Amino acid sequence: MAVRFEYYNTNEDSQVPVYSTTWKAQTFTTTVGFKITSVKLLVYKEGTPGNLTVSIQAVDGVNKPDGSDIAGLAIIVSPTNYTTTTTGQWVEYTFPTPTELSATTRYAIVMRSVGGDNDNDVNFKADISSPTYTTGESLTSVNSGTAWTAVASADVLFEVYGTPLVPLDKVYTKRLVAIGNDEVWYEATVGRLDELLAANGDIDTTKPLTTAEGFQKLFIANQTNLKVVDFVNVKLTTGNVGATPPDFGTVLTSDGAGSPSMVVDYITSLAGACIIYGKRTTAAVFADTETVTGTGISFVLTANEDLPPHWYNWTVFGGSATFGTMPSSAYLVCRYRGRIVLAGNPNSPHQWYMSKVANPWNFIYASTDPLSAVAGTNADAGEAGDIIRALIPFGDDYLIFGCANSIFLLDGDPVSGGSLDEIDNSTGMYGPWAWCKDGEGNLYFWGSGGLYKMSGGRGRPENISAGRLPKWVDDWAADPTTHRIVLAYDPFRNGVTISRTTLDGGGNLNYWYDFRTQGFYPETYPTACGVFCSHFYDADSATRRCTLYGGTDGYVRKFLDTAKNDDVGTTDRQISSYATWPIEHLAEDNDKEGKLTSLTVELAGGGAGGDFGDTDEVDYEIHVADDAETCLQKIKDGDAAFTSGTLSGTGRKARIRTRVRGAYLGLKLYNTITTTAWATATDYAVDDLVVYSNIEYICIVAHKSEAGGGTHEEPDTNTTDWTATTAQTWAINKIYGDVKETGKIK
Amino acid sequence: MANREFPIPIRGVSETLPVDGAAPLTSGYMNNVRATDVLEKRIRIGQRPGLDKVFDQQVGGASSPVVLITTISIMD
Repeated sequence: MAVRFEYYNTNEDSQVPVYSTTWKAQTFTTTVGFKITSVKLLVYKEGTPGNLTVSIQAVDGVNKPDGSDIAGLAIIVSPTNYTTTTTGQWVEYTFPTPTELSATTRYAIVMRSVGGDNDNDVNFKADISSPTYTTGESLTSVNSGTAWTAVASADVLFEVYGTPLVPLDKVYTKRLVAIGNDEVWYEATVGRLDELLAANGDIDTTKPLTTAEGFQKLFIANQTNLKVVDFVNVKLTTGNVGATPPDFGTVLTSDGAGSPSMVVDYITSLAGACIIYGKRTTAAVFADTETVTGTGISFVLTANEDLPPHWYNWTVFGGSATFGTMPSSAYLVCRYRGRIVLAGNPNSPHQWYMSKVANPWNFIYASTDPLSAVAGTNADAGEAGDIIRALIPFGDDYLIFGCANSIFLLDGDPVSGGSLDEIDNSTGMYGPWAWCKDGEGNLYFWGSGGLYKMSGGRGRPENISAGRLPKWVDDWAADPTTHRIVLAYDPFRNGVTISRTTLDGGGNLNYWYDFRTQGFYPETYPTACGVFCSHFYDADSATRRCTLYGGTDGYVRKFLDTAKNDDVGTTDRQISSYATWPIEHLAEDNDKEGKLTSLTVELAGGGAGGDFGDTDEVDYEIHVADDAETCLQKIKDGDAAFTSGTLSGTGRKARIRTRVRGAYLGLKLYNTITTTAWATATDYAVDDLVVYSNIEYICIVAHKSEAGGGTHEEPDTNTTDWTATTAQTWAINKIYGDVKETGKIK
Repeated sequence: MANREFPIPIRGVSETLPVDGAAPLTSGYMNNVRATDVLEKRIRIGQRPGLDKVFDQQVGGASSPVVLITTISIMD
């Protein structure tokens, strides 16, 4: 509900007219910030005035209306029904869009009318004898607001209404950053990625690349490309930084309007031309030619300040050895105990380097200061003796070094009492992306024997895949030169995806590991969706919070329960899904056959519609064989089934009455995609149909007519022609059947 | 004649034991299914969720892999 915030509403003893080019204004000063909704003015009319506009404008440097109505704060009304009684009536002018006004700031109510004259005008009651409103004044213009004259001896009566500002809990924003094709993209506005143009071509995404977030900046390790994306600082430029360059943390102030000030974070040079990055602490901004000073510091700006984000080389402060030495190359980076940690230097692959606490520009490896930078060579904790492949911090408590053939744990701070311990000397980690943590702090990683779990991140690695998938490592034959392995924790689905993606092309093999069943579920994705990286996006909005996957084709994706297809290019691609039920021996006696006389399937969804989600149709095949392995082999080989069919609708389906005799029975349920209907999304005529297939899918692709024949395009390059309109998913509740033992196996 | 229930392989694939005698509730052959269905999130086997684009923009502006995704927090 609107309340009155500012007003002067007494002692009216005269009026000021508005017509044609004669405008009036009354300024006021806010005490607190609020969202203005309306103003009330005491008015009457003479004759037949034109339409009246009442608006709110900011004021210029001499407290006169600046000439621009604030967006949403202008209203045009007809004064036809205004009173002609000269004592006036209070009229409320409600603005189209309630808009925030800042605290302790002067604004102007501007009144103007179209047409009219001295006998056809709108009059605003005023106090012209002894006005007492001290934080605003009346103004008049005779040239449609081009020039204003203050009338200090008068105040127009007014009341300003609005609503208090809503308490604002949110004081920071989370932004997504995605990197690919030698470019850096970031979420400039929610739901949209834009390129950081300054970074274009300044990194090499064919080389290993990792990042660490810290101090509202992103530190990038891409071998010899050590870079910073700076989202917090303003950038100042000078041709000569002077004899005394600013230091880290120095407060600088300019002689410009409002005395802009900043805290220095990083400078590119200790002498001569220099760029200074710092957090501005004033609303006033730095401008070209201003003189900037600090304690013993003075230099002149050669350009206006530049707002973030910025892209620059990550060096020590001032680029000077005075502040130590960073490794010339590294591809592993993380943040630990307020330090930025680097590793993966090809000349010292077992080495790690840490910046000074809270100062990523200081790599002076001094041992006397507990906050000083430190490297594996001079630390109490020492260096790992193995090639470091992954840096995995657990808060500020400990840091895991995943190495080629071993795992080390750095406990505490390496400068002050920390220790480096070898947790395992027989299990290595595959690479910087081949690990993830769950919500309970357990670490999962792909190692030399498959999938491992380290309870609490510091227990001994436990191989959790060997008991289910003894051939997994051999089957995948993962090689870092040709494959990337990525692990991703999905807290909403309670599991981990383990992906092996071919670096050239995106062919992929994947498993879903479910925490609740502790089961492994193989998955394949279209090559365009092959996983190259992942990240749990803990977005500001709960609806956007999810695990993200970076695809081969440059798109960022997530698993979506309502998506029955995979979103590829401009089209969707159907998911080929199937499950084989445990092979059943139909007889109790190992030497006998059995006969299945009926089979009943209960599909998910209960009655059609209703509260429970309904399954789409699902197909089934029944196979029989004299032994279990042959039966499974038949299914894998795609042999003709003994019987098959399609189950549609929901709930308990009619019995399948086909009688099946044999020793072992195999049941496969699946989602057929080869028979799925495809339809045109445009008006193209169909010339032909082409069966297209690869390792992940088989589909029928219809092509548009091409004049004079032409060649067929593959789906990935012809995606605008056709869109899959049939999307299916399925779920099963229960399957049971009548089984009778018969004679011996022939 | 016995009425027998065919147990749903909610515990995923298992290739450790012989096919005739595999671990309970496991499958010898499956793809793109998960224990938890997407309809009700019950543990009963169903097709996996689809992969859906989060942003319309293609990182790098071309069909080149997204090699890294991360989040940065910035004061307003």
